[in-house]
Amino acid sequence: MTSAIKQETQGYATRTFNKFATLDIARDAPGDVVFISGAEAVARGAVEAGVAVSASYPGSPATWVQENLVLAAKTFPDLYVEWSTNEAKSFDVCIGASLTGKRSFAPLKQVGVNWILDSLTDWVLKQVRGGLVIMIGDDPGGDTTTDEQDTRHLAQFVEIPLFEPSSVQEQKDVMLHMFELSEAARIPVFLRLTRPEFYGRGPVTLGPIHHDIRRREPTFSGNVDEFGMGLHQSTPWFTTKVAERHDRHHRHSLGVVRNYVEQYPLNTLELNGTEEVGVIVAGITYDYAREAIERLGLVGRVAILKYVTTWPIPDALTRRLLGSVKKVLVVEELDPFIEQQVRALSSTMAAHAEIFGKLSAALDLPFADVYTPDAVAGALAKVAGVPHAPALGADRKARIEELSRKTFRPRVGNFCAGCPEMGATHALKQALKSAGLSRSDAVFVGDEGCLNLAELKPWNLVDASGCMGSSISIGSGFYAAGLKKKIVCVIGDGGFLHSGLLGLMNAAYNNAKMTILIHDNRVTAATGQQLVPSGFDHNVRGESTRRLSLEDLVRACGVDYVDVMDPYNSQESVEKLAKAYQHDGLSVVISRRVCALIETRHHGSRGKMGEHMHPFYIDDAKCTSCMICSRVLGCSAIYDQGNNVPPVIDPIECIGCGICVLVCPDDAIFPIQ
Amino acid sequence: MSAVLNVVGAGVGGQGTVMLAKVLGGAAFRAGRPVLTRETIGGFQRFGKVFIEVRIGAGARSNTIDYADAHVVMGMELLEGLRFGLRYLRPGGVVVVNLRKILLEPGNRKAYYPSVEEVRAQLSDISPRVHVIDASSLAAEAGNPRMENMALLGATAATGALEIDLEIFRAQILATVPTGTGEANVRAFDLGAEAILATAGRA
Repeated sequence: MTSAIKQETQGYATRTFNKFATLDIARDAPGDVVFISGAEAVARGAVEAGVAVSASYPGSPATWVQENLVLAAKTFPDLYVEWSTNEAKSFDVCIGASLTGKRSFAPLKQVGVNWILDSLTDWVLKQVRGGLVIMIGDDPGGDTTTDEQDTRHLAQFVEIPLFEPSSVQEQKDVMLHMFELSEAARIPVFLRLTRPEFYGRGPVTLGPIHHDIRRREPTFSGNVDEFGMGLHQSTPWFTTKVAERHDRHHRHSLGVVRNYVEQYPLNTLELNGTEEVGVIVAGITYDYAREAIERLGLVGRVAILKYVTTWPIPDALTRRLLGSVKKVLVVEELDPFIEQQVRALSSTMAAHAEIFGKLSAALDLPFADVYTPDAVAGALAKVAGVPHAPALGADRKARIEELSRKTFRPRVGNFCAGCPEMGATHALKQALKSAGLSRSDAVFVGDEGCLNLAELKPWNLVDASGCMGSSISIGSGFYAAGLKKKIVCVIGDGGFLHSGLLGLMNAAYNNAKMTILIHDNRVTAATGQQLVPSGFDHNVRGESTRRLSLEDLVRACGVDYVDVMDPYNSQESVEKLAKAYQHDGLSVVISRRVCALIETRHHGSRGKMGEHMHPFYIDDAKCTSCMICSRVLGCSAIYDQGNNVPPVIDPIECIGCGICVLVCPDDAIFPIQ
Repeated sequence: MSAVLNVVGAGVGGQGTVMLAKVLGGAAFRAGRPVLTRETIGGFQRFGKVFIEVRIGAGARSNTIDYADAHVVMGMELLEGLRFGLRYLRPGGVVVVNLRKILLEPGNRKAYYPSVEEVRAQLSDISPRVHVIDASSLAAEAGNPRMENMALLGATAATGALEIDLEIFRAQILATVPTGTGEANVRAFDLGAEAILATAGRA
């Protein structure tokens, strides 16, 4: 019964990309106007710019960009795409490709960019050959990430240019410019967009695809003086070769960048000379500001300076605005990154406009969350001295607040019905009892991905969770500190191969005593089921590969206790986990079952699922309303109708995994025939 | 036609709310209208928040709609229809809400969930043009309850509030949905439209 879902997943890599990608990505028809998303526009821009290598690690919004390039590679086989094992590896692959003269692209999620810093700082000084663009997917509001970092600071930190385009059209167009600048200045270039831009659709006029650039012959002369540490080179006036290269970076590369930025036509100033107020905007705040200006009836009375290059900012345009108006409002989400640059620049002017922004206490602009046109209108109204009534009146606000108290917990997500991680989470909790432990005797460390949904009711099975791949090493820290609790680290196959592996090596080498559960669902599930090396016997390019054995890998890290369980088989899973909990040492259990959504997506809509499985129903005559299936197992397809009433299974959601059948003490759950 | 028509849609992860944005945005584009859309999705695959914004007309500068400024609110699910309707509906705007309930916490019996009557009363306070339809059943009738998104779109389009011809929607559905499901999706769209046209004047 539990094997009702076939494990057959051959050809998964060649599945349709309807959810993520558009065929317009490879349409070789310059001048055509298409309606695409920002993520698609970025990918299209990369294709037009002649990118030959694109390496990424899954995570919103990088996923959506790279999935489009994966699709484009089916039309252009000389475009190499890969899902790397982590972001640092993506970047290094791009470096290697760039050294041969090819253009390479690393689309990364915001926190993913943090992983590349070591290598990036190194190669900024050594210089690249083929253009290299790094995409930063920032997330003000934190909808799909664990933090709200303003990654723009990295541009200033590593001293490479940063582009923040506005419209969907610009998001495509800047890609070619960035690759050209990267090759002229011989340094990587950052592209930064935020979620509303990636997930916004608009009209885009396609440009020509530079096939010639993509087909450049790769060359590499192996010049150690240029690309090695430069150990045997003499540097008469510098302490080291590093210092000499750093000096070259400032004098040459950043000189090229500054000249480029000053003349870059997408940095624009709309100024008629009569305005008393101006705004400085970039990216999505350009749209917000234009909307706010119209709404406040200030068209023609507010000058607009729009940056696309936000590091460095264009000097002359900024001086012109600061010298023409009396007040300037800098509009940007998160940190006052632009504002600080503008204030620094203004300090070199004898007289300039008064500058307003996040650093103006009187405006009280938030440093967190997203902006809206209305919020920008509110700030601009204060600066311009005009009235503004907030969009939502006080009575409606009060009503929303009242309903929020009883109803409106945000929907954060839940395990999909039939999720193997739900089965494993249930077993992890039940096994405590079997091992003679209470919940408070154990500490559960989560990681990244769907597994953190175990935080929710009814499981409450995450006590702390950190970034991708960190759970095992945080667990090691609990052990190192001497915490007198059973330490249980939970990690997905994606997180484990991303960097958790190093944590396991570290834990084994340092004799940490704890239990580790690896959810092996064969993909990075939370991001939309991208491929991992242990998943299937092929990669995203459809090539055959040897499927990595997680058991072998775990043993090779120095772990003797390795077990494998099927999370759909509750009893067996509980027994195996209880045994692992009782092991005095380091125990690893691999919970193996393919992501439930692979079945549904691979085989198309759930309407077709009939040939693979049957949804279940609860027989009211046999059900004693014990509520174990709904209130203990917590399956999303099982609806609690209140005490003493049998729960119902939603036949739309149920995929027929059968976990509830094994959990039910009354044998009251049957497949719909 | 107004300078800008603001449409928001809200649903639960897995319901096909993003497809709603693709079809509605695509239909407006097909009709030759200026259009911008925006999708907000959660960090997990299912049961998280999904919120879409579609702005049609030359007056749209950004793809973001302000509170109390939506001419049309589409609720794929009862609670989400109320949640986003309260925030986004413009006085006098049109709301179309699916009857379907997806509990916030299936395993939590204490979690509160509003009744249909409460949803209707709260939204009617803002605008009298509230339609509650059983889009999931209509979609099931068309062949698959998963096509509730197209049934809801059909109902919304039939109110006339989207200012786009039904035939353009049908063409856009065929161009957007997965291969092989086009006809059934159009059927769901049509059943949704009929449900509104049959009750015209009563809502």
